[in-house]
Amino acid sequence: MPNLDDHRKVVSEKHKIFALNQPFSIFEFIETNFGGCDSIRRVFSLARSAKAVSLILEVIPPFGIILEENEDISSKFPTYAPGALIRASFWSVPIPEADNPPLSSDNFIGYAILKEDPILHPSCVWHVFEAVFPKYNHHHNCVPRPKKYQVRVLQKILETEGVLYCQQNQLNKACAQVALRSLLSRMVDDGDISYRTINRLAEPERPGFIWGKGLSIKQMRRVVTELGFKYNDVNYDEGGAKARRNLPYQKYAYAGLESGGGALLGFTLLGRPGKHIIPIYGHTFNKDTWVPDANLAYFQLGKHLGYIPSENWTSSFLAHDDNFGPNYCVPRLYIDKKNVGYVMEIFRPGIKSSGVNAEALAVSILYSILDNHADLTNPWVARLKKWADDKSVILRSQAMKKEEYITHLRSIEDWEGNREKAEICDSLGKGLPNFIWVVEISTPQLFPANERKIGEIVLDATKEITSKKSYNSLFVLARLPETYLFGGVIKKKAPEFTPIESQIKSHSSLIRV
Amino acid sequence: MEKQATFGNVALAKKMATQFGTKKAVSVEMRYSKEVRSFIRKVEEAHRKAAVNDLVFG
Repeated sequence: MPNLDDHRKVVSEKHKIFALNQPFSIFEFIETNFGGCDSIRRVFSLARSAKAVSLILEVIPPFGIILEENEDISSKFPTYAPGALIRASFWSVPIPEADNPPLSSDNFIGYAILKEDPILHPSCVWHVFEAVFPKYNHHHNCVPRPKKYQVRVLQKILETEGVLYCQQNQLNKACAQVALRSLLSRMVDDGDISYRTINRLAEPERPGFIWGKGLSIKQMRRVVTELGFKYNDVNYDEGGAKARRNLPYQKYAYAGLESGGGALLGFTLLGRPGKHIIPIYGHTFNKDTWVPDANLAYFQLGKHLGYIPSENWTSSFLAHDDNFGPNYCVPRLYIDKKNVGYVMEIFRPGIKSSGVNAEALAVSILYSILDNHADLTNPWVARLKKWADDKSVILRSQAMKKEEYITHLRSIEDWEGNREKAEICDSLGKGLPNFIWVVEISTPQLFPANERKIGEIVLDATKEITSKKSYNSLFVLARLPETYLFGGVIKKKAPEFTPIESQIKSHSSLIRV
Repeated sequence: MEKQATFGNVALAKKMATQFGTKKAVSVEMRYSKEVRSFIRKVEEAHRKAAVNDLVFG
C-alpha cells in the first residue's frame, strides 16, 4: 500500500540540537528565526507545555508532497523560489550533541515541518506545513481514533500519535484545503492526501478556481465523495433560524467525532471579511458539567420524542485553527450559532449513515420497546422505563467495526461482576454487519459520574438511513439488562422481537475507542 | 404466497434463538416512526439545500 509520508522520512542535510532549559527563550528564538508567525509560536508553546527540554532542528530538502506543492505554486507564480524547509522535533529528555544521538519514540513529544515561502506577506514568510502533537495529557480530553504518524529524526524513524495540523499559505491552499487534509489524512488508504489531489478533485465544481482563496461547499463535498467517504452537512445561511434551532451545529460536530471521521465547522470571523473553516477532531468530557434541568439539555426530535444527548457533558471541542495553531479547546457554546455558516459530519470508511439519524432512530426504537416491554422485574429495566417516562434517558452513539463491539462486549462486566457468555459473543461476531452504530443508553449520574450505561441499541451502519426507505432492516439488536432483543416478523404492524438471555444484569462501562 | 414483513435481521434472531434458547416474542408497536421520519426529512432537506448557496471558505 502506498504511503504519502516521504516528506516526513526524508534524510536531513544538516541539523542542530538545542537545550530548551532556562534561560533559553522560545520567544527570542522564534523572532530571530521565524518572524512573528503565530502558528509557529503555538507549536513551540505546545512543546513547552509538554515539558520539552530538547529541540532538534533539521534542514530537509523538499520531497514527496512538499516537492509537489512547490511545483504547483511555481505553475501559478512563475517568480516563486522555495525557501528553507525545517523539521523541528521536540524531546522530553536531554539530547546530546552528536551525529547519531540515541532517540526513542518514548521521549518524542511531537514534530513540525516549517516551510518558508518567500512570496508570502513579508511579515510572515513562514508557515507550518504540518505538525503532530499528542492531545493535552488530561483525562477530560478525548480524541477518538487518533493516527500514528511516522517521521524521521536524524537517522531514526519514530512514531507519534495525534491529528495532523496543517496551515494555509494562500498560494495553493487556504483554510478549507488544510482542514480537509487534517481530517482525511487519518482515513485515506495512502496515509495522507496532497494539496494537488485536493485541488484536482475540487476543480470540476469551479473550473479555474484560485487555490489560495479556498474551496466552496460543493468543492469540499466533491473531495470527500471522490475519496470514498460519506458525509452529512448543513448550510445555515440557507437553512436559516429554523435549521439553527432544529439541527444545531454542535449535534453534527459531535456525531462526526463519535463516528471517528471528525467534522468541519465553517463560521464568520468577527471583524473579518470572508468565512473560515476549521477541523474538529475531539472533545472534552467534563463529568461535573452542570446539567441541572433536563429541559435545557433536552434534544427534541418531535412532539413526543426526545432525549438528552451525551454531548451535554462536552464543554469544548478539540480543534485546529490553521491561523493560530494546533490542539485548541473551542468551547462548545462559544461560537455563536448565528455566526456558524456550515457544518459537515464526516463518516469513517464503511459508515454510510449519519450519527444524527442513527440516534434518532435508536431513541424511537428504545421508547417503543419500553412502552411495550411488560417485563420490569429487573430493577434497572424498571428504572430505565421511569427515566424514559421522565425524558431523562441519555444516548451516546459510536460508529464502529463489529469486531470492536464484540471486543467491548467480551470486556464489560456488570456491577455484580457478571460477564457475557463467550459463546454469545462468538455467535454475534459471525452475525453482525461489518460496521454498526452502537447507541449507548444511560441516565443522569450513571453516565457522567460512573461512565457506565444500561445497554445499547445496535443499528446496521452499512445502510443509509433515509426518510424514503423502511427502517425495518436497520435494526440489529437491543441489549438491556438480562435481555437481548433481536428482530422478528411483523404481525399487525408490530414487530415481534426475539428475546435471548444476557448474563449482564445491571450497568456496565461505556465504550472507549 | 406473500412474503411476511420482518424487522431487523431475522436470520440472526433465529440463529441466536436456536443456539441459546428464547422466551415468548415481545410484540412492540413502533409508536414514534412518523416522528423519526419527519425528523430525518428535516435532516435530508438541510443536506439537500446545503450547496444551493455555494459558500466559499478561504
